[in-house]
Amino acid sequence: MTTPKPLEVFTLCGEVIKLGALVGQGGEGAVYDLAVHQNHVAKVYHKPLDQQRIDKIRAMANIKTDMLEKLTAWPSGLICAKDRKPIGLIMPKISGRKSIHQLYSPKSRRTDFQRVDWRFLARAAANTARAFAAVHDNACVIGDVNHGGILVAQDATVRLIDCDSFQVSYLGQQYLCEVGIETFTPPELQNRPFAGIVRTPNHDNFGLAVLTFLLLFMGRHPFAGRYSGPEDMPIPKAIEQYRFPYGMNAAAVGMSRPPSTPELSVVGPRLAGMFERAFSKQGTSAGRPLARDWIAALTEFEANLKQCSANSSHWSLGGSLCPWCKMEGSTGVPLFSTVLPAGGGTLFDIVNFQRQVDAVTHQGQAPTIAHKAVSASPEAEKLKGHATKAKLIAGIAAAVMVVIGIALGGQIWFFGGAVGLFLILKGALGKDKEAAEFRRLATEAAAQWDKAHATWLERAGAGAFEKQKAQIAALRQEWDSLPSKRTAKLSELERNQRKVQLDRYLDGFEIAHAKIEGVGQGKKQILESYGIETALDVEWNKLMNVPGFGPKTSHKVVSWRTGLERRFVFDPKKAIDPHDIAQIDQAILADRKRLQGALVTGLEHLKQIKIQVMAVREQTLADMERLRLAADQTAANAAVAST
Amino acid sequence: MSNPFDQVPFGAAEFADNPEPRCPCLLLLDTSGSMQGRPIEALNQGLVAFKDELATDSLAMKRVEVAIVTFGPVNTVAEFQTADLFTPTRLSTTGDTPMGAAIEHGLEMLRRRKDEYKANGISYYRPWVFLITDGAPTDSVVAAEQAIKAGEAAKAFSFFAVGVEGANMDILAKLSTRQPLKLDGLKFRELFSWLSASLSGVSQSQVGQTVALQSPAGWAEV
Repeated sequence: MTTPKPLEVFTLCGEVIKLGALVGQGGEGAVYDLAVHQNHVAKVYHKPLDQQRIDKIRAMANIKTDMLEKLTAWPSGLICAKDRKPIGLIMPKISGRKSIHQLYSPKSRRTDFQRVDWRFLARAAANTARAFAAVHDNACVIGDVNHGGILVAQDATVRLIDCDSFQVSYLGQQYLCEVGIETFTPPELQNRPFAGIVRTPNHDNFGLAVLTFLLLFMGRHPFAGRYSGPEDMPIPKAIEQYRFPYGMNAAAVGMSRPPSTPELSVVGPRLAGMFERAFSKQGTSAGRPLARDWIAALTEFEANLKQCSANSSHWSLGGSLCPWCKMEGSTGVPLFSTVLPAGGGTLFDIVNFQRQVDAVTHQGQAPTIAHKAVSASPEAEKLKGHATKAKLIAGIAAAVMVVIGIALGGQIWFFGGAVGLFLILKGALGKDKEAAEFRRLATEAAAQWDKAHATWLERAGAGAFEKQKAQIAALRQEWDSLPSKRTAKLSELERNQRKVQLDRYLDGFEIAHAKIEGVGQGKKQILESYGIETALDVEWNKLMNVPGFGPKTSHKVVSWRTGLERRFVFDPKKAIDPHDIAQIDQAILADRKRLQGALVTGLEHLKQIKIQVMAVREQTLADMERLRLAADQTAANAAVAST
Repeated sequence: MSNPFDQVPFGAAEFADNPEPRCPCLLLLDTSGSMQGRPIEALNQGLVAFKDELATDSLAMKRVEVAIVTFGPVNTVAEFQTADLFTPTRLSTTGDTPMGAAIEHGLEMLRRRKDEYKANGISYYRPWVFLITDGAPTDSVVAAEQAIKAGEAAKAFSFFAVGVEGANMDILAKLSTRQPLKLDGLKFRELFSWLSASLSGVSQSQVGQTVALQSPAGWAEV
């Protein structure tokens, strides 16, 4: 869906606007840099703009304030084609930011937002609320709140984009927002087409609460939970029916939190109360917390966060157990990337460092989960021997029929009938179906155990720890080799220096003035026309390409060069340029810094791995034992039931 | 009879790491002997293009889950995994065309995956099942046909069948509740590019807007 770049665009006043490079391309239009204004870009729509949209953009340009322009990509005016028909708009340029979903999902956060902890997430949420408040203060509504419409920078500041979909009121006119994303849409608007609906700030405040929840609860949607009913419970349906799995009424509406997620109370009573209100019926009728309320509550919340004593990248409100240690323990997934201790002296004490590494002792292998001595359940015992019994009875019946058959003169159909009777009776008397159900359960439990056990070995075992230790050892080795690396680079420089001098020397002997046997003026001119002018240019392969130079003559020319080379004396005194040495030292220093950083991070990571592995062992041992027991029990049942 | 032990899911890790709603896509790919040569080559290139195009959409990378089952014989090449973890492996051709068994196996995988989503409180979009074949089944497809009809009726998934040159389109039409599509030549690349764009669209779909699928005109004979 590429639209060719328009040749010329104009302002409404007919001034020419020069477009620069294409910045991006979306479903609706293409965005270009402006050759003159670096802080703005032009969006050119693929399709012609309708009057409604034109009026809306014009209204937005009139509403524009400095604050709006700072917090959003607010349109500042229309642009037209040569025929004065509007084809797009001018808006502030926003770069170096990422969509908010890349911040709230732990996985993408680890790559896209490093060194982020809960304080950062609370700040980003408060900043989002600030942007919402600014829009609401100007009698506008965002409408289409979504995970892609908010861009976050590395300093947690946010900007809202796609502003041309906002609902705008200007001079008594209302321009509506006719789109929306289900998972950010309040219950009262679920399942209704957006066309014609007038949005209110209270609708936005639902989306804001969802965003805040996503940020504070590690990317979990507030309405994604486990539902006890038989049918599916997709998020939009859960929203519509006020089934908030973290709330006080969760059990009453058949919902429970997803496993390994924190309770609502981890955010403290004030924020918890706000989430309850935002996601309740009362919020629909009496109003949800306003953007301003969130700013105040989140600011207070952030100020009260305390660092965890076990893991420096964990911040929480304090209390009995750090929620992130608990969550990381039960899942084995690091929720935040390692935070480096600040500062750090100029001199790195490698010996002391090694001592610290050695102090992190090996955690041992994962505890083995032993088989349990179990006896089959009474239900299974009941089936015991049923197969043998069934066969016996069927066999007797069939034998009786055979005997009768023989007595009646050995009619063949009697024998066939006997076989049939045997099969029918065996099937009817047997309880194969029930036994099969026991076997199915056993297979299922065994598969579940195998899968969980493999995961257990991976997360509770020593593999990750040992790998990390080996990695630190490799870094240490590299660190130790830095001095010899420097020496090697210097001697390489020296060798190069010799070559530089030799080249300069050889270049001083011009063929034109040399006496070479068999190479007269004519041949010298030919050589010159082939770019062979000094002894430096003389190379066997080059000569062989010159017409008139056979092996014999070429050999003479090369000997001339070798003779000169032999007389060359290297002068180490004038050899090395101090700049070159400085360059090597700088490179070594950079290596040293890089390794130092990697070593320190590696040690922090090693500690974290150990903490996590220990936590996994503690938190999941009971589950593992339960799974082991289930596998053993169902296996025993199946074995007894099938005999 | 129900399991007397209340099971605790252990798959929590991947969902803690990435709690985004999932959009599962099951690919049932015919790798029987007749696909040998240029067709399998084109199919392999198509899969690479599929991953590359999904990679341009950071949300689709977290939401779309791909699983691959090949048949001739039935083999799970990839279990359900998010697009960022999915790496296309080179498929080679062997054997006959046990299409029925492949469909049943794939749908069972899908059912289990949905159970995992539910157990872990992960929301999901209606799954897509994509069958691609250049032949006719060498086994019975009666059970598979029933499973597809039941699944479509319950909105448990959407089933799409694509026939490559030589495929028995009548059987595909019988299997699928949707009109099967006929691949134009070996335009696998275009097919997967369309699939990627459609999945990206589904994975960020909006209210009041049934995701309008783009026309498959770029790769199918329509």
